Amino acid sequence: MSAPMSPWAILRRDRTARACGIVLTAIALLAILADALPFSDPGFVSTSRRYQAPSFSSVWEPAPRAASDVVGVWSVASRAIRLAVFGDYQIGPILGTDELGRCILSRTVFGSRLSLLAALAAACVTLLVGTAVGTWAGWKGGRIETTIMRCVDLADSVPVVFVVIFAVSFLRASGITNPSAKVAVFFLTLGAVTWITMARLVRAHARSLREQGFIESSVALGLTERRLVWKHLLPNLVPTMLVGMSLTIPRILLFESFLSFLGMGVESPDLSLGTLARSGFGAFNPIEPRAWLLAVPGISLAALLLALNLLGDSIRDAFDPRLPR
Amino acid sequence: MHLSFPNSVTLLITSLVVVALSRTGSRLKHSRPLTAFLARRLAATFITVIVVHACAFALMRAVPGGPFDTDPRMDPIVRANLVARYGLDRPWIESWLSSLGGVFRADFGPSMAWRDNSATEILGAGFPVSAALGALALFFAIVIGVPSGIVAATQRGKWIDPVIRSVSSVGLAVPNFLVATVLISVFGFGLRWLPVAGFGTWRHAILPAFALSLPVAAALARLVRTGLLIELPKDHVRTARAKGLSPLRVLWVHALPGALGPAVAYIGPAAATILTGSLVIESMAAIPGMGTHFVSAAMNRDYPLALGAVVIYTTLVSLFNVFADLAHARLDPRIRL
Amino acid sequence: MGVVTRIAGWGALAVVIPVLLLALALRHPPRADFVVGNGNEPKSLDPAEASALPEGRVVRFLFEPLIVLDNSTLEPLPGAAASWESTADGLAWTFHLRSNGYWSDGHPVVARDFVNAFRRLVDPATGSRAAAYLLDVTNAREIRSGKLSADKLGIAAPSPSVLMMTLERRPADWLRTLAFPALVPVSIPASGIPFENGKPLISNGPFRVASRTPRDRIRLERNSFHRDASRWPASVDILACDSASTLLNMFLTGDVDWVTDIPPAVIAPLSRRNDGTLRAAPMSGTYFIRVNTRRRALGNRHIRAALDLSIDRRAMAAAALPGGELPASGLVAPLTDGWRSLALRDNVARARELLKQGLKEEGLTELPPLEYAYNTLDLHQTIAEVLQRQWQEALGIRVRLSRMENASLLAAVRSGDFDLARGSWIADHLDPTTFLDVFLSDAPNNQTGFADQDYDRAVKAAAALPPGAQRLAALALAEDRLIAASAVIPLYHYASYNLVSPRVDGFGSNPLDLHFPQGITKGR
Repeated sequence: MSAPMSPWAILRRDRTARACGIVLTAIALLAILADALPFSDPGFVSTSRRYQAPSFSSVWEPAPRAASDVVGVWSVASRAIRLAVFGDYQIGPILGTDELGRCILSRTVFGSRLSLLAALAAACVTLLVGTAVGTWAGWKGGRIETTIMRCVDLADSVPVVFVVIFAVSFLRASGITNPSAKVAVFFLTLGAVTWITMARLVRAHARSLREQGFIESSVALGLTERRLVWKHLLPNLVPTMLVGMSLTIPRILLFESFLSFLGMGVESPDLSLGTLARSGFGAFNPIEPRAWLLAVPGISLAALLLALNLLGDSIRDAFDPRLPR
Repeated sequence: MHLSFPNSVTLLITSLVVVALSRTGSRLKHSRPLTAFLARRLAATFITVIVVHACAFALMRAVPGGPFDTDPRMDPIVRANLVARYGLDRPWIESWLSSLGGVFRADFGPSMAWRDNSATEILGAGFPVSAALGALALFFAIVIGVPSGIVAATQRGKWIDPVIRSVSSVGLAVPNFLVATVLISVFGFGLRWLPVAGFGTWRHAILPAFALSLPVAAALARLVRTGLLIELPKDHVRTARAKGLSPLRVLWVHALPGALGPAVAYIGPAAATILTGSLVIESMAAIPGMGTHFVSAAMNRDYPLALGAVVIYTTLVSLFNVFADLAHARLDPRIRL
Repeated sequence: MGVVTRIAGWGALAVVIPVLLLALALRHPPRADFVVGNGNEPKSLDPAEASALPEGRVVRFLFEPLIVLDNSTLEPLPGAAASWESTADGLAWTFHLRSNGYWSDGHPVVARDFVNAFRRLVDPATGSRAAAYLLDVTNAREIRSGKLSADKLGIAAPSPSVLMMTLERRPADWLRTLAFPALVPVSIPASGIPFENGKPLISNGPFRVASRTPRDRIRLERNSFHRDASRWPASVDILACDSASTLLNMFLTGDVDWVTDIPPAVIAPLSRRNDGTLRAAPMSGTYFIRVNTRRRALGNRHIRAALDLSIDRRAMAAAALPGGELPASGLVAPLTDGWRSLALRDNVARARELLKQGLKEEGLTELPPLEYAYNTLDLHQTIAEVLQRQWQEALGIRVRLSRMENASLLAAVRSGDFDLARGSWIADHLDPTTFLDVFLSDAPNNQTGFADQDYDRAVKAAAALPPGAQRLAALALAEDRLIAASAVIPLYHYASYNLVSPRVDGFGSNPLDLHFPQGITKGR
């Protein structure tokens, strides 16, 4: 056996991980650059096109005049890029249309944007809160650690889904009418329930680092505690954070779609994969199934989750070589 | 502040129990580990329930608007009567304590949306349905997941292992509502084998339980496979094999007990997963379980019912976690309680 | 070996527990002869609480009012009363009860049961919303406000079979009002408390409660004491299921016989099946926009009219509505007996002129930003989006959409904190005043700030006329005044959709979407 490879090298050589990485990057780029790509306006109502099944009859078509205002630097710039590259054309409804003749392809792309944003926002909360709490507890040890971990234990035995549904349903009725405030509340609630896994993982690792004599050697080098934590402890915790994120992000995505499917998550006209699946299920019937309305967002979500899960497996395998493959 | 007598008793008992339980851990240090473990974990469950109840209650009270504000044609006199009847005009500490006292007596109060039944009656009617569905789902998950994991681990390197691994990855990724829709379309409408919705006979329970079981089965398959792959190369298993014992016996007696540990510890999260899934599946399949009660109570702002459901769910998940840890320790002697 | 046994034991346990639990949870009798998919779980089976549709449907199965209506023509037919007469001014009524009317416990139904029930409804302590239907009965308003006790209500039982009522005012349609589900007799037990939890429910209608599982189903059986018992199915299940998609699935597999709530997206394909199961009928209800006339720009009637005329209602119906709904140009749904039908006035060019004129009058160069508030429901969302686009294209104005929970919308409308808000009115009887009264200046549900003394006078004067063409013409003139003010912008008139299995006869269709089980009989 040759010299042990670094986890990063293992990850780079892992074909599954590479494939997932490519898929995820593609999805992320699609979501980020959606404005600059020739998708039709996801809100564009075209009554002559209600419930069109997926077809390639109109793959490339002239774009109708945009009805919604373009706000923000990013959107204006994207619109300009789009006009320069693709001209006044758009991709037709190749994946079918919904009850208002809106293009499902473009709705799914724009919907995945909010789903990913939710995952990202909640992941940031998780990263910040989870790492902070975990590091603090694992590093300080003693009474602080015990107290913090007691609280984490308590939080862990709460069935978060139910508490979140409870919270969301009451917050929704609380008269918050500003749509972005609503979405922000939703994101924060999502993040608030997922930081625990991260806190546990980070704390265990930080503690083992402390027990390995990490402090003593560093203190011997004459480092201040703050410098020690920032320069040496945290960088060493990065793999754990990665593992934590790989567990958290798919969970949030699934959770978001779940809540939106129950009608308690993102609200129309905002789009997410969950709300699309919800309206797809509403239109699904055995007489005229219109299966594409449910299948397109549903399969997109499943593919996204699959890629995330597989990449997560690879990350865990790479950083925890004790586990057999 | 004036507190009514039963409420002061609730307050007193609650604080006494919390103090007493929080000290049991240290006092029981020298008794049997099982007793100490149970005492500690039950105390934690108790405190969790109180904290969750308090948070949920605070949330309900903090949000403006009540269950009787949705009706435009309602007379102000009638509304005032209703508000008084359900005690919504009492000071919050009073209501909180009497609600908490009710929780200990398993009396969650009258349902505000459904006047003919108390919240306890409604939850009591939904609970066996959800429990049966959940138990059946768990059963399916074990029957599908554990053998798949064993096959994948023992047939490592053959074609079946990657197949099981990919199927379980997909099973973890596909959302419940998609699985349920496909199952209903195929077995309900396509083949007409099973009813599409409703509840009443065992045939009604199969599709929803199966849809609920899939993510848990997938997770179990992975856990069992990994557990076995760790266990199989170990010395005691190799020794057993070298002694010429049949492969089945080696697997069954020597490898599995150690390998099943993580899978058994997963029962707690699995219960949470199934309960969560039941929210969607029950409402899709018109099953009168706790899940549908909970979702509609939350939507209708039926305070007592929603609160009761949250308390029950919290207790259930906590108890399942205790049970899982206990079982895990039984199966794996290296784990201390 | 111990471990193996243990694992095997656990395995056996894992099999036994689900089976046991399942057996415990499955206590339902087999499918009933007639299964109704009733939407939400009824709040209560107490008729005094029967203010919403699901409750009303169940109560109609259980209780029989004095009058029932024909399922197709809405003609009043004898219910618990065999015959009735009134004075010429319509203020005093005498009802003769059937000699063969019985409660489900075998006791005869007597006039006293109606007296008790009506007093109970009006008593403020009961907290019933249905009291509103009885406000014209002598002394009802005083009892409501606590000035008189409930036994002063103008209703009396001179003999067990004779019921007399005196009214202070002549209501628009008193006989049909008496067919409301809340206005049924009640059998007061010895304890004095009717409908106590845990006691069997005693009813006088075609059916009685056999069993009830909360939020699942109410199993009804024929009331064997009822005179027509043999005509009806032996058992009825009232299913509580609020998912329209699920109920549709159950209907299509034959598990449900009557579905009242159908996903809008499915209505078109269902009607294309053309197998007679979808019963679509125009309905006495109107979907409209409330305009807050207290807002600066919206106080101008020309600006309001511009918003009104710029809507292309036909295009909206094509884009957003399932199919049977009529675009509305008036507030009163055209089905009310002998009511006129108005032509659409949609006119974009005129709307642009009116907007220009209105802005000039207000000294504005452009319309201040407006917000359209509506509550969470896919249909409202779709309509809001269509409105937004139509206004943008016709008038070049950008209306912000504000989606909120129903409770928040009601609160916002009540406190006048809105520009434009979604509203609707479903008639509970067939008289135009049920719509026109909503926008009287002192009406609690007006909420638009529209207050026109001439309109109030016109409606009240017309309503007091004796029934007939002259009265309708006078009401139509009043409605013209309301429409011209554009404080309320009607969009469309509702349609009712029911899925009914061919196993059922006598279902009927009518503008109130009422279906009395008395008329429904076993089919093939």
